Amino acid sequence: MKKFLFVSLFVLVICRLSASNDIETKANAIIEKYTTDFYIESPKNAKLKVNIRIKVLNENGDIFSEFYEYYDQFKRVLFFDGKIYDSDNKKIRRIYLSDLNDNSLINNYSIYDDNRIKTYTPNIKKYPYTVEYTYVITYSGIVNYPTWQPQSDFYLAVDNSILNVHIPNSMNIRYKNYNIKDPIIQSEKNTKIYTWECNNLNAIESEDHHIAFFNFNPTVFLAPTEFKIGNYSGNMESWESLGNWANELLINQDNLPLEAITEIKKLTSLDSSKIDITKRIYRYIQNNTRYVSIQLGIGGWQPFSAESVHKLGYGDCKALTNYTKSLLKVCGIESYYTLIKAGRNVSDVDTSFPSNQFNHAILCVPFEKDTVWLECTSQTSPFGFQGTFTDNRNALIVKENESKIVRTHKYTSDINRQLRIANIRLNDNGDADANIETHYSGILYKNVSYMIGLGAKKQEELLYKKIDVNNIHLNSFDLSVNKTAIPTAKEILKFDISNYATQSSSRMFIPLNMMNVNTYIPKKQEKRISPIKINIGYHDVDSIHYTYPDNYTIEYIPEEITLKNNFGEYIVRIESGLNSILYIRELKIHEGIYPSNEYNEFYTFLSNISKSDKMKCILKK
Amino acid sequence: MRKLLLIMLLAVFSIQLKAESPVKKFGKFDKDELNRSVYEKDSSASAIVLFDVGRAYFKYSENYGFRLMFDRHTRIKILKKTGYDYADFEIPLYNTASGEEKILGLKAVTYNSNKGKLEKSKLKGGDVFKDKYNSNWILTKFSMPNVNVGSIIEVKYTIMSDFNYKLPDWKFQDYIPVLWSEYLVEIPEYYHYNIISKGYLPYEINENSVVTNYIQIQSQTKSGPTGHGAPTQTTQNATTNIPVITKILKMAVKEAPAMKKEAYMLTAKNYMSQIQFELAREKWPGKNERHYTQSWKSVNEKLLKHQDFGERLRFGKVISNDDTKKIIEGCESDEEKIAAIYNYVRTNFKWDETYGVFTKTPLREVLKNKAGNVADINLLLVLLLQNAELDAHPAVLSTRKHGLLNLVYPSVDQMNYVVAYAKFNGKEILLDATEPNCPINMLPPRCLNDKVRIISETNSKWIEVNNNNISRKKVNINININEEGSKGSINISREGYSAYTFRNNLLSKNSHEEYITEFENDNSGVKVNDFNFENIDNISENVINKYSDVNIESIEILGDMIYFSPMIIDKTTSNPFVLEKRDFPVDFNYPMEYVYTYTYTIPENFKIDEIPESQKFNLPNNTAEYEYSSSINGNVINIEIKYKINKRAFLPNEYAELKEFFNKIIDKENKQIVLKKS
Repeated sequence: MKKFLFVSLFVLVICRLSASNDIETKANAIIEKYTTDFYIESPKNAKLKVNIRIKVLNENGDIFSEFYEYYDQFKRVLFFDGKIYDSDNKKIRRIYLSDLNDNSLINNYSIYDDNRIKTYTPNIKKYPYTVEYTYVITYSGIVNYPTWQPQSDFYLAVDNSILNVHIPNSMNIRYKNYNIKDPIIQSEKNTKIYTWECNNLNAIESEDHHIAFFNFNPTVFLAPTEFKIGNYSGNMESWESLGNWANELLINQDNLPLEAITEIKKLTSLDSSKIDITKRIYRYIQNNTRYVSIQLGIGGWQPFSAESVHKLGYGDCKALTNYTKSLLKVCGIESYYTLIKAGRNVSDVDTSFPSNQFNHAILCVPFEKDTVWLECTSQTSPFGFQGTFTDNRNALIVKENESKIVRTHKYTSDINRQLRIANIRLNDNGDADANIETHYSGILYKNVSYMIGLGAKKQEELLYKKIDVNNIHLNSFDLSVNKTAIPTAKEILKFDISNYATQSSSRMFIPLNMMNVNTYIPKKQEKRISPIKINIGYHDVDSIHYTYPDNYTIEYIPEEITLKNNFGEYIVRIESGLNSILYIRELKIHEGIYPSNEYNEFYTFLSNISKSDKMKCILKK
Repeated sequence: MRKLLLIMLLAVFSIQLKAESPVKKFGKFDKDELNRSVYEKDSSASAIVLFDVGRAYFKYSENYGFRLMFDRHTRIKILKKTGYDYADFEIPLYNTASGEEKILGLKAVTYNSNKGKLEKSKLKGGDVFKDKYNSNWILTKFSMPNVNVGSIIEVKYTIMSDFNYKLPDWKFQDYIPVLWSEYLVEIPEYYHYNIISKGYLPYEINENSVVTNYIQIQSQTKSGPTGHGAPTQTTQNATTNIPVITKILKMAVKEAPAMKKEAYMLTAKNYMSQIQFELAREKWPGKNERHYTQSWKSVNEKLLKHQDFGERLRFGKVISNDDTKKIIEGCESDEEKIAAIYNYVRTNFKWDETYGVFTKTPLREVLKNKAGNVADINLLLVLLLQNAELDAHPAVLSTRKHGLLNLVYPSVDQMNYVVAYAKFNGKEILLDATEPNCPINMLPPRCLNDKVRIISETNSKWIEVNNNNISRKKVNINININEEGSKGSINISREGYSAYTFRNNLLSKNSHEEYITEFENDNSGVKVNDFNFENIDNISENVINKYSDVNIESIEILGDMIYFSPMIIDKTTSNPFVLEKRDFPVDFNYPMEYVYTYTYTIPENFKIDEIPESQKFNLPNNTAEYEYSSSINGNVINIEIKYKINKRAFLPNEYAELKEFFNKIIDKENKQIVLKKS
C-alpha cells in the first residue's frame, strides 16, 4: 500500500485510462475528493458537514454513487445539494433536499422504530460520470460519533480524503487511528481542529476470509468524553464510565407487578440450587416471551420496563435481558446486563478504545466455577449456549462502578464436532442402502436443531434438501437434540440410493466420501493483503463402511492421505476387507487469524481437500 | 395450464359437500380449540388460521354518500414457536391528497389456557404503532401480547375508505393452513365490478343473491298553518326510503392447505386462491353511466387516453424530427431503422429497475436525465419509432412475478410492464430497451409470461410473448491426454437466453479474470491459461468464449490406468428436483438446448479399455431429449452429448418422469472412460 503514496497523481491518471494490469484498474469508482467536517458543539449537539466527489467508472461502481443517510429523532439531514457531471465534466443534473427519497427504514414486521432513511440513486448510463454531494447533518443527542473510513470497500480508490474535527477548547475528543498517522492539531479562537488526511489509496481486489476493513485500511474511530442523549448524560473515557451510563438507563426498569413476583417465587419454590432456579427462569422467559423490536426515541438505548414485558410477553433484546435480570433478582440471584457486538463473523470490539461499539444485549449470570451467558431473545437456545451470534468476543458487563470487559465462551474445534458412522451395502447394479448415524456437538448442533419441532413431514422435506447424495429414497429417520451448555444432536438416517456406484460393463466406481464432500475453495490470489481469518474451528470424522457383491474385486484403491499445517489437519485412511472397504476421513480446522503470507498454503490445503474428497474406488467383475 | 384448471374445476364440482361455518362471535369459542396442539392434516404447520372472515359493503350517510367499509375478523391458533410471526400484524392504509383509509374499532385479544383456566390479554391502544412508510402508505402495526405455543389470537377491525373503486381483494389461502376463509361482498346497484378469481381450491360456498336495502334520505318540509287557530309553523323532518338493489356475493373456502414455494416455480401468487375486484362502471340515478374497464377494448381505450401512457406518445414535439433523423441516419430498410432506434435507447437510457405500465417522470426529464422506469423508457422507444414513421405500438404484459394473466377478466391492474411492438415486412417483433443485453426481438426472462397485449388505435390484439427464443449452448472441447498432464482447448458458443445470462454475469464481475475463476471453481480440474471473449457488446451475435490453452487436471493417471468421466465441464452433479412429489408446475421459462462435442486423443502407450456406450432417452412426446454418442477412431475418442428441454412448463403429474430424466443424465455423465497402458 505504502509504495503507491509516492506515485504522482499524474501517473495515476494515466494508469486509469490505459488498460494496464496495474492494480489501479481494479477500481469501479474513485473518490476524488472527500472532506468531512465534524463540529462538536456540546455534549449533545454536533454537526456533520460532508463534501464528496466520486467518479464512477462502470456498472459495478454505481453503488458508490448512491446517497443514503439514516436519521431519527436525534439526527436530521439539514441540507443537501447534489450535482452530477457527465464524462466531459459537464453538469447534467442538480439534486436538492426535496428530491431525496424519504422512507421508513422498517421492512420487518415486528420492528417499530422511528428510524428513517433518505436516499438518492442517480441512474446514469454512460460511464464514467461524477457525482458531488454536499450535505449537513445535525445531532441533538449523540452517543456515537461517526467513523471515518475513506476507503470503505473493495474496488474503490481514493485520491484525497480529509477529516476535520472541530471541538471547543472546553471539551475533549477521543480518537483511535488505524493505519494512519496522528492528526495535525490547530487552534482557532476557542476551538481546536484535528485534521487527518489520506491520499492516493489504490483500489483493492476482494479477498476471501479477510479481517475487518479497519484493521488493514486507514480508519479513524471517534468518541466523546462527555455526551448526552435525551435526559441521560454520560462519560465515555473508560469502560467503567460508559457502563455507569448504561446502568443509569436501567434504574427503576426492573420493577415487577406483585403477581409476577408471586408467580416466579411459586415457580422456583422446589428448586434448591442457584443453577436450577436460573435454568427454570430461563425456560420461563423462553416459553412466555418473544422478540419484538421497539426503538422509539431514547428507547433505542433504554430497555422498556420489566413490568411491561411481563404484561405484553414481548420486548427487544434490551427489554428481554432486563426482564430476565429482574426475575432472577426476585429469587435473589445477581446477574448483569451485558452489551455485546453480535453477529456471525463481525470484527471484535477494540478494548483499547472505550466507546459504544455494541449492537445487542445479553445477560451474564456469574457462578462460582463458570459464567453463564443467556440469549434472552431466543425461544430455543440451550441454556448457556451462545452459538456464533455472541461467542468468543469482548462484551461489556454493566455494573455500577464496576463495569468491565470480559470475553464470552469460545467454541473450538475440540467442541464443534461431527462424528459419523455409516454402513453402506452396495448391490450388483450399483444401488445401495445406507444406515447412517451422526453425532454433532457445539456449534455443529445447529445442523439438526433447526429441524426439531417442525413435524415429520417438514423434517423429511428438509432432510431431502440437506442430504447431499443424489437419487435417495428416505426410509426412516430419527432426530434428537440434547440442549446442554455444549449442546449435542443425533441424526439417524436410513435411505436407499439408486445408482450410487457408477457402472460400466465390467467395473463399478464407488465415490468414497458419501456425505461430506468439501467443494469450497477460496479464491486464488497472487498478492494477499489481509491476514486470513477462520471464524469457526471444527472437527469432522466420517467412518464409512462399504460392502460390495462378492463377484467384484478391487481394481484400484486410492492412497491414504495426511495433510497437516497451521490451519488444520486432513487425514484419509482406507482399509479393504472381505468384500468390504472402510473409508475414514478426518478433518480438523482451527479457528484463528493467520498471516497473509500463508494464504497460498491455505488455498492449496483447501484445494487438495476438495480434490481428495472426490476420490473413487474401482471394482472389477 | 388452462386444461389443468378445467379438470380441477370439474373435480371440484363433484365433491362439493356442505359444511358448517366454524365462524364464531368475538371472544366465543370451544374449549377444544384452545387445547388443540397439532393440526392433523399438516403436522408441519407452525400456526393455523381457524377462520378468516371479511365483509366489504357500502355504508350510506347523508354527508358522505356511499362509503366503502371493510370488516375483518380473524382467528389464528399458534402451534409452534416458529409460528410467532403470525402474531405480528401489519395493516397498510392508503392515503392521498384526495382521500384516506382509516382503521376503526380495532379489537385484538390473545387467549391462553393456564391450567385449564382461560386467560385473556387485550391489545392496548398504546401498543399499536403507526408507521408512515412513504407519502402514500401508512402501516398500522401491532404485535399481540402474551403469545405462546397454544395461544389463540383474535383480531377484528373495520377499514373505512374514501376510495370506492378499491374494493378489497381477498386471499383464501396463506403460507399456513386456513381452516375457513369467507368473504362477503355487498355491492349497491350503482357499482359494477369485474371479478377476477384465481387458484385451484374449490369453493365450499359460492352464492350470489340480490336483496333490496333501503337508505334513508332526510328532507325538511315546512308545514304552514293549515287550519284556523294555528299560529305557529312547524318544521317537519320527512324521511324518504329509497330502495337500493344490492348484489351479495358470498364465497368460502374450507381447509385451504399451506402454500409452498418450490424450485422452478412461478410466483406462488399465481396458485394462491384469491378473488380480486376492479371497478368496471358506475351508474347513478339521473346521471350518465361512467365506464371504467370492462373489455380488452376499453382497456385499450383507457390506456390510449391515459396521460401517463397514450398521451406520452403524442409528445412528438419534445423530440424534434431532426433528432430522430440523426438516430436513423444511413439506415435504409425499416429493419435497420428499428435496430438503430432500439440500440440508441438501449445504450443511452438507464432503467431505474422499477416496473409499471405508466410513466412516472415527465418526458423532458426522461430525456434530460436519460433515465426512467420501464414505461418511461419503452414508451420513449415507441415514440421514436413512431416519429420515424415506423409501424410501432406499446404492448403491455404481466411479469412472471406479477402473476399469470386472466384473459376472461379484462383489467389494467393485471398488467405491470410495457414493451414496444414493431412490424415490418409482415414480421412482428417485441423490444425491451431496459435490458442492455437483450437483442432485438428477445424479451428478458421476467417478461416471459404467456401473452402481451398490443395497444393501438386500430389493431389492438394479443400475441404470444415468446417468439421462439431459446437458450442454446454449443461446446467444442479437444483434449490431448498425456501422462505429464493433459492439455486442451475449449470453445463455447452461446445463443439466446444462454448468451443473455452469460453477458449479465460477466457484467456483474469486477474483471474477466473473476469470471474465469468462477468458471474454474464450477468445473473443478479445469485450469484456463488464456481466454478470449468475442461479441460481448455485439449483442445480436452469439457470444463466444475461446480458451485455447487449458490444463485438464481431472484426468488422472493411477498406476498403469487412466480413468475419468468424459464430461469435463458443465457436468450435472446434482438433481435440481430433490423432493419426491411436486404440487405445482415446473417452469423452465424457455426451451433449452445443449451440445457438447468432446475429442480425446489418447497417448500412444495406452489403449482404450472401456468407453461409455451410446444411449438415447426421451420424455414422452419428446418434451425433453438426451442423446449420448460415443465412438472410437484410432487413438481418438469422440463423445457427443445433445440435451434438450423442448417444453417450457411441466405439470405436477409429469414431475416424476422429469426427475427421473435428470437422474438418468447424472448417471450417464458419471460413466467413465478407462485407458490401460499397453
